[in-house]
Amino acid sequence: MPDARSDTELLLASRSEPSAFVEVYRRHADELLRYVAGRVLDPEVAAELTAETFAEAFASRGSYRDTGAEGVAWIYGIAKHQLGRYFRRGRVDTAARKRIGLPERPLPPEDYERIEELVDLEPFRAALVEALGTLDEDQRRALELRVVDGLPYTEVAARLACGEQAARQRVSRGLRKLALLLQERGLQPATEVTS
Amino acid sequence: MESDIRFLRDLEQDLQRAVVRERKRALGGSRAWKWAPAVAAVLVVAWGIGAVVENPGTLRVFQGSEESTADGGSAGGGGDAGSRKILPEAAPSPMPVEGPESWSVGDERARGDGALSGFDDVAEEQAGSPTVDRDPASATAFGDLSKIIRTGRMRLKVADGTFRDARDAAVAIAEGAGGFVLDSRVEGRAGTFTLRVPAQRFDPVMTRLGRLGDVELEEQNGQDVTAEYVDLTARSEILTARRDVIQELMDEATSLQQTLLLQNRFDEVQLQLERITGQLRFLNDQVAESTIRLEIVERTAPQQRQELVDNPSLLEAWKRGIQGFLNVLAVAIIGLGYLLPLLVAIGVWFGIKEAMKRRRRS
Repeated sequence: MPDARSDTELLLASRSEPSAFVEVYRRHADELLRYVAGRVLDPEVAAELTAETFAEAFASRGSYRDTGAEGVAWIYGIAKHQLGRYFRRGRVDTAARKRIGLPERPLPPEDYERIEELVDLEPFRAALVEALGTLDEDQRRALELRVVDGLPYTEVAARLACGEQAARQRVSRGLRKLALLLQERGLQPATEVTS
Repeated sequence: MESDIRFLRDLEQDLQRAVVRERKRALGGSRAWKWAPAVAAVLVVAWGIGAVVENPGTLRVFQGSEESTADGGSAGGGGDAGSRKILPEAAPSPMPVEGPESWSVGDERARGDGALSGFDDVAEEQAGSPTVDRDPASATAFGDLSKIIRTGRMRLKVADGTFRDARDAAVAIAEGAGGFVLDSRVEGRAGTFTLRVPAQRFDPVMTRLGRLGDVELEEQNGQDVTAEYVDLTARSEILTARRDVIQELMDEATSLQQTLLLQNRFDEVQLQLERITGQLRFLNDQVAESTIRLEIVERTAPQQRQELVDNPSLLEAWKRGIQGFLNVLAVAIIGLGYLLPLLVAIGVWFGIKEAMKRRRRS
């Protein structure tokens, strides 16, 4: 049964009724993951950042104030902050997940493709090709096969003569490096997502 | 959740679990409970410090605060045996005033008659140490030239219920040293005793007495009577010589008048001589034996204990309970005062940590 309350109302209510926060999560988790994935490209990092963002929001829901904007903007603010920290440090925080006791889960194999599908790489394919030159041989080959040629992972694994999971990881690591690289050059990997 | 990404579905499950934990925590009470053990620990430590500070016998370092021990002692004692049970540290076992070993009154009793034989051990120990200069051996070095009357005074606080033991032990110490109890006055759970002990045993006896409880007051006096002694001895010699001369003259006297006159003179001199001999004997006695005035008091005021036995009214018990509680509280507050700088430091540290955490989050 859908909750009729707005995000703002839910977030305010979650202070004394924590389950209201889960409703906010249900509404926005997919979109936030897409938003994050569009910036970090790497599915693993995107999933981790999403988890950390919601954990942080849950842990500090007591400090949420109704500022007139849509409640979800507050969560996107936290996500931006997390992204900034990720780009500065090259790793995802775990503090908020630890604080509320969320386990650090590895990304299930089938999610790699699904998250990649969320990201539209088309706008910066040119920059991508150029940036490919700076990657390791293994990662570049994997990325070319997967992103440029658009092959499924079974095919990528066959061409690289490695396991499917290994192929996923190579693509994932390559995308991660790529995103950091593009960030360094001031090229936003994806356009701003409007919520 | 209808997301087709398994990671997000798992994350939702994890969040649900976090929500359950959060609810449980809310039901289990406020976050303040998390601090309860720490606060309790701080209070216990504060109380311990307060008790130590308020009980001068526990640590000699705090001798300066001895004047306030009448209150502090009863505060630590909690007033009766009941509160002592709850707070066993209330009556710290007596610590040695000086010397390397610590004997509580109980130990003293366990030795029993051994106090007599045990004394000699101590005397021997003491003889070996340079602080004791009134041993027979060193006394001969001074010969009879130096005449000093030594007196001592000591006030002891002993644990509740151990007055009798302490008294017995004190008597045993005096007698073990070849001394005796000159007079004693016991009133309820307190008593005053005058002990006479051989002068050369004065120091070891004082040391041993000090081990019977917490020394509240210790005083040692030495009165040098050498000049007086020399003077009396000289006069005694002169008078003896004069008496001998008069006696010779008497033997040679020819007339009754002469004899009567000389007899009068002889009696006069003899009387003077006896008076001086008496003074000399008194001085010698005083020098040979030292006087120690010993007061033994139980930690708790004697009247209170008496009342508990005679009039066990509920109101009285309640009042005493309240008083005991306030005493314990007072001791804890004193201890908190001592801990204050440390607590402030810890508070500042936590404050900075919290502020940094917040800054990192925002």
